[in-house]
Amino acid sequence: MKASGGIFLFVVFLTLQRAESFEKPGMCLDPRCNLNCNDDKDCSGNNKCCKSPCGRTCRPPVFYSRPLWNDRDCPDNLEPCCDPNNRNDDDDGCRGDRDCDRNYKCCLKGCRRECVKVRWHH
Amino acid sequence: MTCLWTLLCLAFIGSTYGCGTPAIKPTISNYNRIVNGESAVPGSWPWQVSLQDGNNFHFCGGSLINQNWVVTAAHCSVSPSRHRVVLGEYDRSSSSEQVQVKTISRAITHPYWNANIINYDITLLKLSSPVQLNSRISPVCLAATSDVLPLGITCVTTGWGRLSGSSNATPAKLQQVALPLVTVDDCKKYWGSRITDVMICGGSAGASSCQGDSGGPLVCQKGNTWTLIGIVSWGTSNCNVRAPGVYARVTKLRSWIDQTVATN
Repeated sequence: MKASGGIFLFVVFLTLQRAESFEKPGMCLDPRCNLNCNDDKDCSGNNKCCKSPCGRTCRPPVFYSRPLWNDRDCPDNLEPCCDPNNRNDDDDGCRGDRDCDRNYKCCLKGCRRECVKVRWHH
Repeated sequence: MTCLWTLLCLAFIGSTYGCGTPAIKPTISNYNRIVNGESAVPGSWPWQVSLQDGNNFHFCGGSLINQNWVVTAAHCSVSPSRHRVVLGEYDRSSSSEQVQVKTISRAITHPYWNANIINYDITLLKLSSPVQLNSRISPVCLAATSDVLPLGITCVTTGWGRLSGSSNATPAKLQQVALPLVTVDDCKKYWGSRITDVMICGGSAGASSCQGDSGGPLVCQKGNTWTLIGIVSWGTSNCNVRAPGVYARVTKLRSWIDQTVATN
């Protein structure tokens, strides 16, 4: 019993050690940009942590209820978005419907295109 | 006689708002040691500009070098159509300051700009119309190509950037911090071959080099004149106090600045 407890503690110790040494050695060269936030958690209220030309800042979100292009099969886009006019295509999870499985379409969710389940119209 | 008066008047204006001589004198309380930043005397860094986007968000600093041109960092990615230059600002939370807001007609980045190693980190911004110089808005002098920076000299960097690596909060009032220049050898001890001859290092052991927004000035005082010798460029991501901050070295960029301003 004592021995198994010891082994358990040893395993916990090893896990912790691993977790601590996860950060790779070396440093990043960081441009001295204005960084008000790292992610949405750092922003008060319903503000989002949005990219700026140099760094990130907390901003009130923009809600886009319609897809940017006229596709009625896409569900309403109710996710908050930083700047719908300044979307970054590189963040998209899909480029078009052919990137998605059957019954899924490439739709806007927030500022990002993702494969979402098709909404059927009758 | 009129001609003489005009000349005298021009000379007077020139001496009033000449480069590197703030009409409102800056006061640096701890000039001989590193400080963690303090609020500047309002208007005492009259070349400091704020670059803002359409939502009035300040994303980078810059320095006025004459009535038409501002120098900033290339990595600030300034877009003439989307961004603008705010001059004469001190307290970003105040709406009653006599600021001048200028649109940008051209943003010219150094042809050797390399984003991977943040080298030749300089962009010149031509203002759509010349700025009206006054006691709170006047240009900084540029370091000459041949300038030798004496060792042990203390310089000042200014900006609205955050004051410590542990907090994301940015100040409303313009901050200043005095810091020593670091020799290339000492800087390379820390950063190795990442330091090129187009970079200059400032700050050192115990000094926070986090202050100052990208694109903003690193100025040194020679007699009564403040000279721009660096442009805030990069450092560690956590603003490690033992790491020297890195600035674009103006002496190496001066001829390109002169050429670009003369031909545009």
